[in-house]
Amino acid sequence: MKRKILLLAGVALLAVLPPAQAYDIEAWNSDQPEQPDYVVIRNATVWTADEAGILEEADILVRRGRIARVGRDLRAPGSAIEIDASGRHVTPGLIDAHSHAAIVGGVNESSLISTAMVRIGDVIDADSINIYRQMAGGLTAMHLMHGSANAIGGQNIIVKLRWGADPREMIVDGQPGLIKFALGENPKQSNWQPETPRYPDSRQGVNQIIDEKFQKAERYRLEHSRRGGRNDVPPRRDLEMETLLDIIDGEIDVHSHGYRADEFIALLRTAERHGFRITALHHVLEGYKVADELAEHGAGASTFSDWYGFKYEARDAIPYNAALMHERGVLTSVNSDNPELARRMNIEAAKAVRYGGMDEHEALKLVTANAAAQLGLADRIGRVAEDLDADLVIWNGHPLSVTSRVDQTWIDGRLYFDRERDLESREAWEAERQQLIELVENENAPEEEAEPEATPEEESPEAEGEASDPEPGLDVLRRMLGGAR
Amino acid sequence: MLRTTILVALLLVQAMAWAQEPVLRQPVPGVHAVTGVTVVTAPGEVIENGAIVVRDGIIESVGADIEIPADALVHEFDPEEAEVRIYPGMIDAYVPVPFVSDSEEGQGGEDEEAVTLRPGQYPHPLVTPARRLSSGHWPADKVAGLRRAGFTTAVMAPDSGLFRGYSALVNLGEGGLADNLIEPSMFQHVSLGATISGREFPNSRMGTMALVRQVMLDARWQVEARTAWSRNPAQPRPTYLEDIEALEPLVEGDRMMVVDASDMLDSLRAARVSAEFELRPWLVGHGREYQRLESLAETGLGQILPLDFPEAPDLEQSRRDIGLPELRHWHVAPENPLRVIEAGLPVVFTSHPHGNPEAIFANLARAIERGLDSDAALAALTTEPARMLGIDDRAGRLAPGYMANFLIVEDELFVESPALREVWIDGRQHILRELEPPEVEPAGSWDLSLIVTGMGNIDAVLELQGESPTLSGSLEVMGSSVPLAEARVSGSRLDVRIDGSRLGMPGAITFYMDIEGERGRGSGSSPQGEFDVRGQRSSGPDEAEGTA
Repeated sequence: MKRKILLLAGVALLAVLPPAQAYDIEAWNSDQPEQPDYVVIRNATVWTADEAGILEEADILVRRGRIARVGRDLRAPGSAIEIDASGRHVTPGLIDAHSHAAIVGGVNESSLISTAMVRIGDVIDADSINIYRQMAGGLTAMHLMHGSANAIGGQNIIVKLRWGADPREMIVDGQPGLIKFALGENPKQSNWQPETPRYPDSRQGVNQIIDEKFQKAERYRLEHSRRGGRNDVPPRRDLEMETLLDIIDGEIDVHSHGYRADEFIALLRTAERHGFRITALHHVLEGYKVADELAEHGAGASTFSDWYGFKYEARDAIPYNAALMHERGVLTSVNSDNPELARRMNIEAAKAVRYGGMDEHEALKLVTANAAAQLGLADRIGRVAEDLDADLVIWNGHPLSVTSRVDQTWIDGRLYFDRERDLESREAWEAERQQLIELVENENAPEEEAEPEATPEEESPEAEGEASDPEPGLDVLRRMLGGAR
Repeated sequence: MLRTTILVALLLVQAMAWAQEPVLRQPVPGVHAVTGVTVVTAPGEVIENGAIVVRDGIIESVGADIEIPADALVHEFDPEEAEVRIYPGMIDAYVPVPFVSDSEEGQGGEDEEAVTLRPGQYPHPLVTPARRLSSGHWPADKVAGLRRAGFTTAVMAPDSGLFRGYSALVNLGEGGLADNLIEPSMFQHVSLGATISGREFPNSRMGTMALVRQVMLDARWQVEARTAWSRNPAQPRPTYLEDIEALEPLVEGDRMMVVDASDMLDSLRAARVSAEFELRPWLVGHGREYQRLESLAETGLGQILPLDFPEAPDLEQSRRDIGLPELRHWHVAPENPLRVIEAGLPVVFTSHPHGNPEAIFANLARAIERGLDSDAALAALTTEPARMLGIDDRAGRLAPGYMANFLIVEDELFVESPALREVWIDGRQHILRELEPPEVEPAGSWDLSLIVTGMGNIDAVLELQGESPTLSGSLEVMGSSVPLAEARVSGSRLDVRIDGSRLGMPGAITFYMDIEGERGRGSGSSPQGEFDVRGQRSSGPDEAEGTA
């Protein structure tokens, strides 16, 4: 009983205290790591996530941020930074195909049924500690997505986890346009009661409104194509409509949230009717039921490893989903949708070995090569292969083992995370904290020594005697006259 | 009939307006000379034992050996008694105030139709670019507060919305807008933090960004569309949105934009979206510019910086889990103004977000202690904002032909709580603290009660040494002693000031007592609010001095 009360008191206290920023490293004062001309990683077990499979005792030569060679006994310039990875494993940097981990000011623009004009690229949170923590788990790129509150959501952005960079420097160049769609309970607002209901509140309504929006976009195109000379009144520009036209024109890839098989088929048909394809379905817990149809359409699938049952439409889920879809030829990835889970995407991949008996190397592709391909960046990231970005993770053991951890994370041939360096930094951070706390203490101490003439002499001994004591009188003044801001 | 009624109604309104305010502005009082003062004509330019002559609101001459006109009313200061200094009046480049009444503000929020608004279907409740400061919303209290802190000119900006409207550049004299207006359409103010709570667009930061873009596109479109139609009227007339027309000067480059930024990423975001539309706004800062200063410096955008540094973290409460981010910010924040200036960006200061503008002095003192040059600080409050506002031929320094806006201070201006005595605006004198010949000698020990409404009494002992008008001493509470920053007698009144920093708090505690014999009563103010003071002298000056 007593313990329970204590526990309750503890919980109450936690609720009252503002959450302390429980981390010491901050992005703004973290320098961008150097990019050496050459880095060579030697004698590693290299998981290429490519046709080459897993290479034993292999070397990787990195030249100015790109992978130059992969093979045995590679020759490297004398200036190269040599890393002995004997007994260790190297994989491509992990990629989270579905993340909201570094977004400020709202993940959802939840007001309208279509918010195609909003851009996650405007609100990348380069200060988020998630970036550092996920990088420490081997993640090097993530697909920052709009939420799922609307049928047609906002435009997404792919960033690398370049800790310390500005938002725009985190953006992967050369990426396709991307947009979030959503089906089912979220866009139809099943799980909360808005004061002002919004159309639609059924699954067929979600499909209908998407169809209608694209009809409108086609009309918009027609209107704008009619414009003649400079004396003709131009039609008004509309950023939402322009985004939808980019989808039809293949400039923007559609990534749609959804759970149920029937809705996937409806969306694929709607897209086909308007002449575009769905690049990937996300969550897609019933994907195993319609895997052949997804493969035929060319839609990829990015799913949870084993989350299910958190709402009605997520009931018919099985952990074999990823393996089954992969078997039927669907380009499949697993994603986090969660900043904590994103720190251990290797384990999410490993679950496909446990459930479905997927080959280990194929399983790793679920969080590397396959995710890159879904994001339209297969030629840039996701594999250990020549000419790809040197986004590499050095593991101290088998990357699909729960006991393995990341020793180093490289992005663009820059050492962004190093376990040793992190451990060493902790002493420096503690020293910095103590130094600053000392400054705070000095600041709070009365400034009597500074101007001894200001206090009558007779008070000096008294004041000194009190220097170590708290000053109850000053405290009273502070409390009653200080003014809490 | 209806027409007659309207006419009568109009006449009535007109008559009421006449009844309330004189139609014509009174002529500014004529000619003044202030002599025996140290004149700081501009940052770093000081004239010892100088004088200034003001005629009809304009500075006629300033210098050491200028002729005092025969028709001037002379305000003479004795340099032997105290060093009195004259500074150019300070300019606050950003004072957010309400431009509309609450009832107006509520409109649109309850409009059900608004739920289906797409960006661009105006009027949008957050897009009010045509707002201007009206006489009816003259922020008299704010003006008086700024004046007390030594400001003579300010940019009164609308405080709500996304595209908020145009700010007004005003002097801070008596009277209303009519008497003080310099420029009615100074800047268009934008805040990326504007969202609508609930279900309307936009309810996220990215939604706000999309709305900014759509509004700017619409502003461009309206210019193009109306121009095309005027060339060729034989086609459907484009719709006309009057609010959007207010943005035409922005599109045409005739007016500048000022964007409120809430943090460092917001500053960069504001710079980026402005660049998309080839705009070069000033940014209202947040005090964390030091965090990504290189990137900010690349934008080259001017910064309107607040002087609002955090108080030391409370170690008693949170020593164990106090975060390094909080400690770092506390430590570096007072250096922020210096660092931004050194990065080469144009910088002006604002009293925002302080409710009491005098709070800037304690913060400025901290910034100066941490390396900010006091001339640079003065420039950021005088010459730099004058240049930013395009009035550097009229304001920001003391020179012939300039507006007679200045302040009279005892000793230095940039101390924790400067002794401001007078503020002159448009050649009119506003006395902040008038000193009369002392009539009492309050030296000795005083038992005081500081009575704080709702919180009880503080019993204190006030020890005073020396002779009127200036004394020194300390205030003792429960055995703790804090020195007085100032104790001064004027007539039978004793004024006392204590620097808040002595107690580790912002601002200052000031109080006065009217002294009659051995008793005194008065009141005071502190950052917390007002309090009453009662005093009784317990021992005379001889005893106090004897023990000293």
